[in-house]
Amino acid sequence: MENDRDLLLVAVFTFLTVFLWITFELIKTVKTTTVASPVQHIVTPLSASIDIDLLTKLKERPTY
Amino acid sequence: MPYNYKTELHRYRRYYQSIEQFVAKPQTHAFTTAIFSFLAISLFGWYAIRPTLQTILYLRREIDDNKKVNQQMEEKIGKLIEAQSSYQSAQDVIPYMTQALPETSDVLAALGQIRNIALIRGASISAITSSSAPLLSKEKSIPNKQAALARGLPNRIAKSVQLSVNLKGTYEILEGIIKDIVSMRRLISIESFNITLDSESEKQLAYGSVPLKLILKLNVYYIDSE
Repeated sequence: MENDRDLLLVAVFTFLTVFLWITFELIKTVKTTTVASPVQHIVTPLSASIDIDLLTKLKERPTY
Repeated sequence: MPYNYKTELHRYRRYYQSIEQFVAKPQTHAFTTAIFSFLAISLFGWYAIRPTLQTILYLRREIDDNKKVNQQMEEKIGKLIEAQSSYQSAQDVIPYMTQALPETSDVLAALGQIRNIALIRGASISAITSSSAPLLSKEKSIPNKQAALARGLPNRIAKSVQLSVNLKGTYEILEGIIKDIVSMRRLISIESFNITLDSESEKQLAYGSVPLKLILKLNVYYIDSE
């Protein structure tokens, strides 16, 4: 009787360990991005405006 | 002598009987069923259910990511078209940007400009030194462009080269030189300056102009990739 209860506890803890392991692996799979690092770098937002005032000010500066 | 199970089985009969009694207990049945059920679920969970669920979730995540990347790419393409039109409209003033922040250290050009300022203002240069500077930018020094592209787009940052200039002249001349250096097109910042009385040319004191010695430490900026 005692032996049975011990074996059952081992089985239950094994089941719980495997269940939690599977859960965390699945969470990790969901959270990890599948986009490669170079692609992430390429799709970074870009500002299309050029500061013409700044360039005009630069034009006014003298060169020697 | 080898064991003959047909004739000598009766020797172990009592053990079989005790196992039969043990197995016949309903509690043992229940425990055994529960234990093997948990172990079987664990085993199949790890080797069958986990890979299946992982594949499903990975593929769903990949679809979502690809949709996002596609949307970001479309936005970026739009922005690039806008940037191209902005660039074309500002094409005549963009070279000034390269003059202000060149793609190489171009120290000689900066030194030449400082010398010209000193000549125009009538000061004399007694010494001019520069810290070590790369002659080519990193992008130009990489021979294989394909390999450079494979590593991704480089981050472009402003770097500086330090110059040290010793000048001699009156206060007005030296003040004018500092103003000219700060306001010239090539971006140069003054890190420190030190004005002392020039002891070598004391004769000029008689004419009313005080000769001074200016030690300038400058930072000349340029654009480089990381």
